Amino acid sequence: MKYKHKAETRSDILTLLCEASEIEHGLACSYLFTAFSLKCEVDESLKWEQLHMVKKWAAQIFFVASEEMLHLAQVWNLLTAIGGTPYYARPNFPLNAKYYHFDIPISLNPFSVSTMKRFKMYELPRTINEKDYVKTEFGLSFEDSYDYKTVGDLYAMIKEGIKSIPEEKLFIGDKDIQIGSDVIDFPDIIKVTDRKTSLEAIDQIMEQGEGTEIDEENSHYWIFSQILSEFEQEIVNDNSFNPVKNIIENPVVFNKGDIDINNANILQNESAILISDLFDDLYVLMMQILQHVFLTSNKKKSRELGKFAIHMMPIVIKPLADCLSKIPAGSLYKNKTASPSFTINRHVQIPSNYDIAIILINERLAHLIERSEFISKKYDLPEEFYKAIKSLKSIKP
Amino acid sequence: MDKIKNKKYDYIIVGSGICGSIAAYFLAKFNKTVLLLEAGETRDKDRIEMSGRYARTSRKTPGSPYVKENQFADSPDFHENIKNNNSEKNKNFYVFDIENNKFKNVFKSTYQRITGGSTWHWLGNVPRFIPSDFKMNSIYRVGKDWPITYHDLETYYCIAENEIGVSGNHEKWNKYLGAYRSKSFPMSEIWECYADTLFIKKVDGKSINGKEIRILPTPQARNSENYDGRPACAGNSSCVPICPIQAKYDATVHIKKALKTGNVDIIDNAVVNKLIENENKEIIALSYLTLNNNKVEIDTKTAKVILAANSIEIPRLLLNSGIANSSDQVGRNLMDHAQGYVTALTNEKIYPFRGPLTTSGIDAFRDGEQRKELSAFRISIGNDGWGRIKSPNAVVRELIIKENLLGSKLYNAVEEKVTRMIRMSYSTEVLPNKNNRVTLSDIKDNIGIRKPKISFNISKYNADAFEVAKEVCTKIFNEVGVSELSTNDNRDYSGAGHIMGTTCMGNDPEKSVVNDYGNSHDNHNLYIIGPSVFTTSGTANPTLTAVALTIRTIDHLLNNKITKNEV
Repeated sequence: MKYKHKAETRSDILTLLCEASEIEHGLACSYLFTAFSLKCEVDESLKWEQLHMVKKWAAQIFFVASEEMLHLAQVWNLLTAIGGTPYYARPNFPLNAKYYHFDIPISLNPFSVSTMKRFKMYELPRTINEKDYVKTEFGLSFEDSYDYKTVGDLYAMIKEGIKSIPEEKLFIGDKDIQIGSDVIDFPDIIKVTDRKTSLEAIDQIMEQGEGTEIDEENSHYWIFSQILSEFEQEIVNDNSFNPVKNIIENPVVFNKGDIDINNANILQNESAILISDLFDDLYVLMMQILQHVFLTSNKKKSRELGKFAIHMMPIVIKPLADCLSKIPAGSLYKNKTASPSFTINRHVQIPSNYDIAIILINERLAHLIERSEFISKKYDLPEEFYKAIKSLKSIKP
Repeated sequence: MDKIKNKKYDYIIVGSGICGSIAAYFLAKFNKTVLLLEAGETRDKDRIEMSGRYARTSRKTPGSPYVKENQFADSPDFHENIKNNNSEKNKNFYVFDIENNKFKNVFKSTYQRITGGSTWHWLGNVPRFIPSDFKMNSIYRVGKDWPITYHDLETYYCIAENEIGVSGNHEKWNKYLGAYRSKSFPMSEIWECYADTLFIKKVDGKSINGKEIRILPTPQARNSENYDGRPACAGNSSCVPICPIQAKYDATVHIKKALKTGNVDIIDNAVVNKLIENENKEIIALSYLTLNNNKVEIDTKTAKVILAANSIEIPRLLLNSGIANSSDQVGRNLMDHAQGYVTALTNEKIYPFRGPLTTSGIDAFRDGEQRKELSAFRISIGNDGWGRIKSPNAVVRELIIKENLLGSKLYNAVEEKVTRMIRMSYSTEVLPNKNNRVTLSDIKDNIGIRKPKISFNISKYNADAFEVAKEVCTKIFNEVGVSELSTNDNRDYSGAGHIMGTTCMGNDPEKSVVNDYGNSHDNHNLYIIGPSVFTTSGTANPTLTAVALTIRTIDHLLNNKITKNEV
């Protein structure tokens, strides 16, 4: 797609939807990382009023991240509707600055003024001039590109592509594998079966991100703007205000070669490395299971699997992230603690056949539980680790 | 103040709760000038401090965040929380007439006097009334018929849901129990809590006492996504008594919107104590008491007066003024939803206290032939352990004191019990009864206004329904799989905080206080809005219906400008 600026064929649209999947997935991880970085306990040197404000910000950012996951799921429905398959791969963090055309790369950073400005950039309404925004907020010049500059632009291209191809020719996917809220816990997900539903799905994504003229105050852009303005005001009120855990940014377990190593921080502490690696593998398993759910027509069984995957987020993934934030990152980083890297390790797509899928999932899960038991025996760890593993053992796919 | 006092307003509204503030907003939006008088104080900026007060206090009641020294306008909520209240005279806010009362409690529902009213501490559940609720006498030969039907109100239900921001599932509610919906909810439903998924798995679709059980997501004035510039629910689980982030709607939302128009002035700490009429039955003035106990009089000759206080304070004011009562119906037909509960421990852990205090309910028993003999009821499934019946704190205390558990044994016992605590509560319909009433006591409150005297009794119609509701809840729990089933004493019940009736609407001026637009039969420039005008109480939480009726009244006063512009 880099050679042209509009989608004209099924393949063009599939390419753009894969790109949209990568971006939605990457943004969800970036937002989650930042939400994890916020203090959430009364003993973390915040006043009562400040703690409430910070918890509200975290809840707001988690909410936006959950809508990015909804967008990813929606894009998967769009992909399968036109003959594709769900796509969960994405480049690892920290990305090379030029990987996408945002100029501001997607990365894993703790909460800060610049992080919030970066988030606003990703969700920038197309009514705001992006050149001006980037120059004003980041002091960067803005290069013209062939295709898109904001997420909104990308979806506008996909929309035009869908409109340009005859409906009966484009929507060849199996309607039975479309996923609705009866199967997955996303109340707003739309089953895509034709041009009308596909455009509805894209409009919903665009409205939630950048908003509409009449509903702009509820968009992701507006949410981030509000948080930023409250943060800036509180810094003025109290110059000792620090709502952020002392964690490292852009953590990686090892140099995989595809990342921007100059901006990466390789973990050094052995227990942090092992837990971070475990975190990544559990997170990838969660994504693989969700991808399988969007591939299969066995609704009853896929509902159970979908629930299992989504339950992993609050009871396994988040406690492990909290645990990492309490473990030293290594001697290079002085007093800073670790954080999750959301690295995607190479793996196969779980097939649509349930009987085969469940064997793969159970085997992988058993190995990961074994690894967690090894870690828990070897180190004395924060209680969040033991809670996460206890929860993991208590749920079954 | 003098500037406001001498200014001429088109409307003077008494009470800034949800109905008063929404009325002010719509009137102002369509260029009418409004003076809003509020007995309580404006405390918007104290939201987090008040949440902190609730967290710190050991006495957790709906009023506990709002307690402050030297409260000016007394209220039942405030009264429940004040310390050193040893005087018999001041023991209760209400003066009770307990003669012939067979039940332990006379009337337990309370309200808050604060700018924004009791929406500060409401739960936020907003199901609609169903069509048969408006025709109880025609269909079931009990109660009374309203002068309007569900159809008359449907458009206004839609506007109300849009204004306050309701999360709900259109497909599941449309046409259920005969209540059609012409528009979707503005937000999709608040996703069910974990316990609800267990109920759905074990009970949904089964038949109990001849009814098909459906576990339905309760429509809620709580954001499932960002709406109206307010955040999505973050699961603080303190909806009653306060939402720290305003994901739950409260009336301060519309007060801000109303003030933004520039057509509204508000005076807080203004307790209206008298309306004055002339020989033509026109309200020509009203008086209110201020913080210094000064009396201020406002000329209302060119204005319409709208009473939006609540179902206790409105009859109290009217009776104190000797106004609008040629029917002798002011204060009569006091209603509430009489409630009871069944609690249990689920066999599997259900992890309550994550999300709103309730997300689903069972509505199958809200209608049917049984209403001829006994009250209909709505069941809500709790997500707050045993709710107000036993808090997690009380569980810990009991395990320490009664079972002598400490250390890891205590930790494990708490984890084992609190994660499995569940309640179902049922709300029964109290029928209008002329002897259930608010009158004036000879005892005066702290600022010299006669206290409300309450006569209230629970009838056999409700007592019989309690038995059936308990039986249904028990059967449902047995399907779910529980132990330690427990329920309230047969002679006990609790109030829902749904105070209704006392200035009921009707077509006959001899049997009702206002007409279907809330216009007093006696005083042409006097209007009443809020649940006090309800003819019957149904089984739905009353607020949405009160707001829909309010918008209908204001639309009437504005020559249908609301429906022309909003629909």
